[in-house]
This record gives sequence, structure tokens and C-alpha cells, in this order.
Amino acid sequence: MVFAKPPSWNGPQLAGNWDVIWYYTVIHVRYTLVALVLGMVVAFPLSYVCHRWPRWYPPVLAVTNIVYAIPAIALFTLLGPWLGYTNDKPIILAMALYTLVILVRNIVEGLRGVQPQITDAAIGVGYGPTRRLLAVELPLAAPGVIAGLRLASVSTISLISVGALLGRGALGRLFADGVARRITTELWAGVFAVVLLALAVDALWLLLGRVLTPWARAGSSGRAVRT
Amino acid sequence: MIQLDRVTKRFPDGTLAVDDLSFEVPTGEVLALLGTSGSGKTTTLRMINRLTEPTSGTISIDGSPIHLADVHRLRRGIGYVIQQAGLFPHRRVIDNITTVPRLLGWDRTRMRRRALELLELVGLDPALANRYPAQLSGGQQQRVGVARALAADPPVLLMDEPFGAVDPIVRAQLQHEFVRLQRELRKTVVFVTHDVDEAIVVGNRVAVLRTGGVLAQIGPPVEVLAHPVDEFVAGFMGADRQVKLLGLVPASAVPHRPADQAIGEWQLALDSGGHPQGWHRPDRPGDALAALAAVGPGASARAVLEEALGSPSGAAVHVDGDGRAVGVSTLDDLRRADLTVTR
Repeated sequence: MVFAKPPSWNGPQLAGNWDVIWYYTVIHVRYTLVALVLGMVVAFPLSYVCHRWPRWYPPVLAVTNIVYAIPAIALFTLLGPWLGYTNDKPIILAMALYTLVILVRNIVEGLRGVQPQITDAAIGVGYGPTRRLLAVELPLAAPGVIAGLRLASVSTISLISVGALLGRGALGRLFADGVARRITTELWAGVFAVVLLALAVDALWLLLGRVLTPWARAGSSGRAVRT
Repeated sequence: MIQLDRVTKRFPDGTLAVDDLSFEVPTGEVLALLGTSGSGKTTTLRMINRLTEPTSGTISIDGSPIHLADVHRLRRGIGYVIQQAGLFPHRRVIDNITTVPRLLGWDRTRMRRRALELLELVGLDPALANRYPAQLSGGQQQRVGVARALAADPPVLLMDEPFGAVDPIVRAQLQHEFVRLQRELRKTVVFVTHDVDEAIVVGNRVAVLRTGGVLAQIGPPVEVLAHPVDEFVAGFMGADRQVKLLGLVPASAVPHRPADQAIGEWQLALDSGGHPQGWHRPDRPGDALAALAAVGPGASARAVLEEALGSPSGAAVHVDGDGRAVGVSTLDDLRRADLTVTR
């Protein structure tokens, strides 16, 4: 959906304002996606390094924890001079940085969770390091990675709205605007939209996880057959 | 042929795992590497596919030193079976089996055909092809493990306690099927185990390692059981090694006397066709016949021992393929059995 100008909320009621909600929902989803993709692009190599050379894991975790501890507003402000104050780039980048604390931990733990005898079998039958990572270790780490993405998505969706404090932040603008203009309906519409979006994305990951890792539930289905 | 020439492995922490070990496994033979934990048997195996590199010494396969080969190509040419099968949980049975063919770049049709062929070879229902490993029993997983190792038809197999994780009944079954397969496939195999009974069933030869990876004795199972070189080997093979030895010798190696000869007060009752009916005492014609379980032509001398011990007469009855009595053996006869003949 393309709008020439951001639509603004009209009147105290919901009717007639659906396009406003939709407009900011689309932006919200887009920001979340961009933040997650950026987060993954950084988290994957970082996690691989931590997995391969475990002494890097504690310092990397410490750094991601520290980044996560920086209040969102402070981080937006820090990134402002570099990315500008009048766009949402600082918010997206801040979100991407926040996802690292979840993604790195989940990817590394996922890779560590691969049973040693499976890695051993992979090496023993002649897998080289890259192929082993792609064909054996990453697929086996997938449940952990997907769990991380789920958590990171929900956390990002909710955190983006903090941008409202700067008058930005996709759906967050609805609360900022609602408060400023004393339109309760707009405020609540923003809150509900964020929560519903988070729930929907969470469910989507759950579903995607099941489709991508059919083997993960194979063991518990109790269909073992003895001969 | 696999050759180890003065191979030593010292780990970075100083532990000597394998000490100046030399042996050969001739093409088409199974060497059972037997030892307690800490005897370096797994380390020895892992040096053959270079999962561990020796500190010194040379390992060659068919005359070529393996440290000169490309490591991935070397491993793809060696079947590797480990405890609990080491199957990839995220791959269906069929894709587990075709792991090495996929690495070698076979086309899909050929891989599929090969996988189905292997399922049959290892005694699995082809309907299991699309299951995930977690949906199989332990015994079935081990069979898939063996099928995966055989997929690209490598001349050499390395097996590290391959049947260690299944119950004794399934284990015995897998051992016998392995022996049957090996008779057909004639691979050159190193089979690591800590189980003496397993080693003597699967191995053409047995190598006993002592702690620290020193070779204590190597030879055919019968020789190691009958003539252990020292107390350690004798102890490891077990106090019952004479009985184990009888398990390797066919029942026909035990001398027997005519079926109608009296054994003390006892006499074998035969029907008109010559089939044994039971033991009786001619001096007590009123008594019921004492039951017996006859020893068939495929049985071992151990079956003769067990039957002789359990029988009231102290003798075991040999029967031919049709169940007709051929003769009887007492414990005295067992002592005179020819232990150089193996089954």
C-alpha cells in the first residue's frame, strides 16, 4: 500500500482510521524485518567465531549484554549524529543491536547442543568444515536459532514503539499522537496493534519452526517400531 | 590391507594412549581390537581415519601411507560405524544412508537405488526409508549405521563398539548378521569392543591391548583363548575362557561313542528310526524316560558341554540333520576334543 503522505488520525472514533493503523503496521513489520535481518547478518559470523573459538564467547556475550543494557533513548541519541534525527534509521539499528544478545546466545547454544558423536560421525564420513556446518550443525541448531528469532522478533516489535518518545517508532506514533491529542481510541489502537502483531509473528515462527524441523518432533511421537 | 607400523599416540596432556603399536589386518579380514577403557583401542581406530593423528609411526592402507592422502577423500573411502550409530537426527533414514554417496556427488536415482538395496542387505523394511532416526529402535538405528558405512562400498570398515548400545538379545542378533554380511562382502574391518564374547564371534583375529595402548597379544580367537601369553590376557579373556573356546569349536570336534553304548547305568532309548527318545536305566524298567536335548550338526562343542552337564547320564547325544542319533559324548570325551578345528 502506498501513501503519498502519512495519513493522520481523524476524530475520537476507530471508524475511518483503519488506514492509519494499517499504514503504521506495515512500517512496523518492515522495521522489524530489517532489524532481524541485520541482527542475523552480524550474529551468525559472531556466533560461529564463538563456537569455533570458545574463548571469544564470554567477551562477545558481555558486549552484547552491555549494548542491551543501554537504554533505548540513549542509544537512539548516540546513533543520531551518525544516522540523522529525522528518520527511523537509528531506531532500526538500535533494534538490530538489541537482537544480538538473544541471537548470539541462541545460535551458539544451538551449535553447542549438537551431540559430539554426531559431529564426530560427520567428520568421520568425510565432511569438510564448511559443509559440515551447513549440512549438519546448522540444521541441528535450527530449533535453538528459531527460538531465538521468535524471542528477538517479539522483543523488537515491542521495543520499536519506544521510538514514540522521539515522535517516531511506527505504531508507537499512535500512542504518542493519542496522548498528545488526547485521543484515547488512538492510544489504545496503537497498544492493541503492537500486541496483536507480536502474537501473530510469534505464532508464525512457531509454525515455521515446525515446518522447518519436522525431525525435532519425530522422537516424541512414539512411533518407534521394533522388529 | 591395513598396516600399523610402530604407531604411538601421546596426547597434549602427556597421556600415552597408544604405545609403539604394530599390526596388520589382511584384506577381507576382521581384526577385533579388545581392551578395557583406557587401553587406546578407540584412539587406535580413530587414527586409521585420521580423526586423531599419531605422534609417531605410520599407518598404511594397501601400501599407501594415509598421512599422504587427502583427508576427506580418505574418510569417504572408509566406512565408519560408531556406538549409538551416530545417525544425523534431522535426516530421514534414506538420506542418512546416502551421506557418503552425496559427498561423492552421485546422482539421485543411483543413491536411491543403493539405499534401498542396503536396507534390504542389513535386514530393514524399505518402508522405514522415510522415518527419522528417532522413530527407530536402537537395533534398527545400528543397522542404518552399518548401511550408511557400506553405502559407497568402501573396502575398509572401522567399527567402534557398534553394537554397544543395544540389549544383549538384539546385540547377539546384530553380531551374527554382521558375520553373515562379512562372509559375503569381505571387507577389511577393524572392530573395537570391550566384550570378549563379541570379539571372538566377529574377529578372524583378536588383538588384546593393555592399559597404555600396548599390544598384549594378537592371534586367532582360539589361540588367544587357549594360549594366553600372560596373566593379563588370561584374566581379560575370563575365567570361563575354556568354555568360550568350546563355543568356537564345532560339536563334531568332540569324539563320540556309539549311541547304543551304555553310559554308566544309563542307556539311550532310540525309536525304530534311530531318533533318541530319552535316557533310561535298564535296571529300573518302570521309570519314565529322562528327557534330553540333542546336539545338532550346526552346534558348538559348548552345546555338548551344556547338554552333558544337564543330562542324568553325564553324556550329550549328537544327532544328524534328520534328528537320528549319531553317537554320545561324555565330559571325558569333551576333554579330548580337537580344539584346533573352528566353526
